[in-house]
Amino acid sequence: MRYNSVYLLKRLGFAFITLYVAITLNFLLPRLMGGDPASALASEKALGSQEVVKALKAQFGLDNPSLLYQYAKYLNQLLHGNLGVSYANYPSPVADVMVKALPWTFGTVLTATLLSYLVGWLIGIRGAWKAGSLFDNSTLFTAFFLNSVPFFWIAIIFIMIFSFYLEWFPLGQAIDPGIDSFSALDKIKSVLYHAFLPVFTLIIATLAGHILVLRNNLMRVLSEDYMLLAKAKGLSAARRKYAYGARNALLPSFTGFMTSLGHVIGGAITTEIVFSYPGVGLVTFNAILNHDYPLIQGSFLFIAVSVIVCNLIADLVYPLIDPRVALN
Amino acid sequence: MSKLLQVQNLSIEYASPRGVVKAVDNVSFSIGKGEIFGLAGESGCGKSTTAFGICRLLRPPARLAGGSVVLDGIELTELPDEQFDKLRWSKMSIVLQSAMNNLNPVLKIRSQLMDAIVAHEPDAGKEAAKRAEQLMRLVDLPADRLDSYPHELSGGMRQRVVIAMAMAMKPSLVIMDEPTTALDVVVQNGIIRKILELQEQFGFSILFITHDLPLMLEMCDRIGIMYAGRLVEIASRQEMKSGPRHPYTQGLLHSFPPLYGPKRRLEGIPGHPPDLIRPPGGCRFHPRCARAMTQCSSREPAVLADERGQVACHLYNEEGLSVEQASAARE
Amino acid sequence: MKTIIRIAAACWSAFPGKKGKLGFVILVWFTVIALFGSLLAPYPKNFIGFESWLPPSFSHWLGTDSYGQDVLSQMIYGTRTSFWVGIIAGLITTVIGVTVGVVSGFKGGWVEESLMRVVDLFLIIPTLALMIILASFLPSMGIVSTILIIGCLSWLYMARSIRSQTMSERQSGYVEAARTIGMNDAEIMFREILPNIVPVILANLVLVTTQAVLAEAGLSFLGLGDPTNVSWGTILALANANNAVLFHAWWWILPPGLAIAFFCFGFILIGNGILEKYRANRGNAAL
Repeated sequence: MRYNSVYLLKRLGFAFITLYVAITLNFLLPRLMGGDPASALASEKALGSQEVVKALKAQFGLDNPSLLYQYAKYLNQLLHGNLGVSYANYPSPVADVMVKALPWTFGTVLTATLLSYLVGWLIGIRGAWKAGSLFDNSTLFTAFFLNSVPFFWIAIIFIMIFSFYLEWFPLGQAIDPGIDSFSALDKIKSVLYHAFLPVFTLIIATLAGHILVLRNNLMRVLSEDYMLLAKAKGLSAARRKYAYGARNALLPSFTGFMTSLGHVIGGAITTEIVFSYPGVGLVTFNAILNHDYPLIQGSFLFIAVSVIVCNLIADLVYPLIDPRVALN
Repeated sequence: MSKLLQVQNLSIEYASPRGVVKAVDNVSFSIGKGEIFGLAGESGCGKSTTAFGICRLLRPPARLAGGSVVLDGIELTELPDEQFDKLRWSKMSIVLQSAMNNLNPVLKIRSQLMDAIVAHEPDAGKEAAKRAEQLMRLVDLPADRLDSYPHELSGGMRQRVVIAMAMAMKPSLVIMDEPTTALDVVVQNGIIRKILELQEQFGFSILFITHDLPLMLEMCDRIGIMYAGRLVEIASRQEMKSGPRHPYTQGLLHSFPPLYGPKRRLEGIPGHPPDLIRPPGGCRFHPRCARAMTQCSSREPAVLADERGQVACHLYNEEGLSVEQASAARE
Repeated sequence: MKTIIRIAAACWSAFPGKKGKLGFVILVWFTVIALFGSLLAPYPKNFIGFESWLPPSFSHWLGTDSYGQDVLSQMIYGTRTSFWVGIIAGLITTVIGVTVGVVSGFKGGWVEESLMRVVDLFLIIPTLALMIILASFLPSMGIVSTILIIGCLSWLYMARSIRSQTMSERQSGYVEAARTIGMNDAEIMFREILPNIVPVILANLVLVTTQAVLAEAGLSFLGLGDPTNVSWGTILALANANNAVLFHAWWWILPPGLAIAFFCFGFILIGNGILEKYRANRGNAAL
């Protein structure tokens, strides 16, 4: 058994504290920025109904000027899953809007992250193994360039080339308009067809980071004594490259892989806007355009919570693949 | 004693931004069957580089610049890489420095030991697993340690595993590069004893590299002293103990406290090893040598080989006498 | 004065290798445009008087957009915004990152422990999400608030990097020497250690500057930029919002993206060059 209770408690505790901080920031930041939380959460202009405004204000304690009272009410509502009502989607609660959007973002972001990691891993390893070669230099150069480009620009370029000029992929959206009449198989096909280009964009945009990290790690591993001994023992190049080199290069990057999720989600927000892909990003964008403050706060919370959960999962998986962790 | 390894005029150099570094310069020595040969010198003198040159494990930019290495009648320097890979470990294995990272941290000891066997005998299969257990017993480690990861073992245990690994193919030569340096003295003694015991049992030869001269005087049959990429003296253990001839060797021996006998003042050697990009002309040791003469800075001393070993120093003429002795004899 | 010369010398030698030099040339090119943009631009800022969707021609090198603005002029004015946001936000980030990093790396103990815990915590929460919530609740967004938001939220990685560098510097002899002659902690940190880690700071500065430029573009693209100002990000946001792709208006899409890419690319090349040289000099892989 690889887990020990101290490690488990530490990671759980850390995730919990992070979660708490994110929740508190979500409460505090709008107030610090000088926004009026009362009118933000329960704007009569947006909601149009005096009763709704009153009920919301009571729920969130906005009828009481004490910040602590408001905070307690806010936490209480949060525990009940109440994030307020979205103006733009009135009368849908914020939580409903977010829950509908989340799977789209999660699907594309996770798929893209895994694939990008895999491809970046292969390229980075090949580059480090033959450091200084033409392959190494050209991938390095490309990686630096890709690292300098905003996600959404890559998205626009891809739409222009692959959707508009070549007509290989749809110009946007996540599903065909008439999907309800489709068979189950066609539904899946439609979803994959629409998701391809957004996922591809995210892969290309995040590839560079993975290439650079893995190349660096492997370069460091290659200078270790056990690599020399592996060569001396007469191990095949493949065995040395993967079981000895790549595996050791991969491990330290694993935690970074999950941390990068935050970065990928940030990129996914703008990418979704370009593709009109109905995920968290597009919801956030529309919320910003419509000054739909409860929804903006809700989206921050959902993004933060997802990333924290993913990190916790990574922390729990890590000891399973690296024998050195969690034992001391 | 018949020769197992013969190194002739071995030169190794590497390009640095400031120029070519001659890390090993025209080094020649031989090791007999079953002999323990020590190579000593200050750090950076090229002793480890010599060892890596012999087993073709130089890390770029270091490269073999010339010379020949004959092991058991086979000229190694002309061997193609694939053949060398087969020969290494089956005829000649290495034990690297005992610092942390000799073992792959993410593989169990079992698979690292079996790797060494299977790489040379792809069909070994089940047999390899059995041999891994035998190897563990050989170095006094319990077989259940095969399922440990390196970080679960102590430094001494790890080094035992590395030694067991070196025994995997019953080589005729084992190169040991500072095998006990990072370990504490008690563990170190245990490992040295183990090495000597295994050597007795299997009769392989050892090229033993260390900067720990007293240790070398304890265990090696013959000892070579390197300075600034050159071999300055070779002598048997007895000769070394009774009185080395090269001033550098003398200085080196005086830098260690004697293990037995009366205490005496320790004398270091003044100055620093030279810059190997532009080494001093003549004898490379002359700027630090208390007994330097005029010819020392201009002419490279010839190697004098006699029954006491060999030495490269202007103090000794063809008869193997010091210049002072020679002039005294003439009078 | 001596420090200035030392820093200047460090800067000058900070463009090692072909890649570093290329990065330097790119940087100078954008600096010139940012400084003398108003003289270079063929038409006034935000001038709407041309026909829409004109492809590139001699009078409009980069064509016109859907509003009838000259894209080249907008690009040149946009350079100024993006450049200054990048530089100033990058500097703010660097000041915070270096201070936190040096103090926690030098002091150690509970100071380091607590500062690094905070850093770890905020590293997990996606920065862009934080920026969005800050920017959208601000009563109004101007260039100053953009700079502040980006500058104050991007220093986390940098603090980590500077901290580990400071920790290794703390071991060196000169720190010990400074202590024996009675220098206090602040003096040692900022007069002894700081000059010694200038290359690492510069390399980090370069990276956070590119991040700032990318963040500004992202915020503008989300409609959270300064609405009265033009930047590379706002040009792209407008191009996307007005379906430039459907109008074949590649001249509206390519230039801002390429400008961001080359600007950041130049900085990354410089940063990489500095780090490589520093590593070669110090043989330090702990960066």
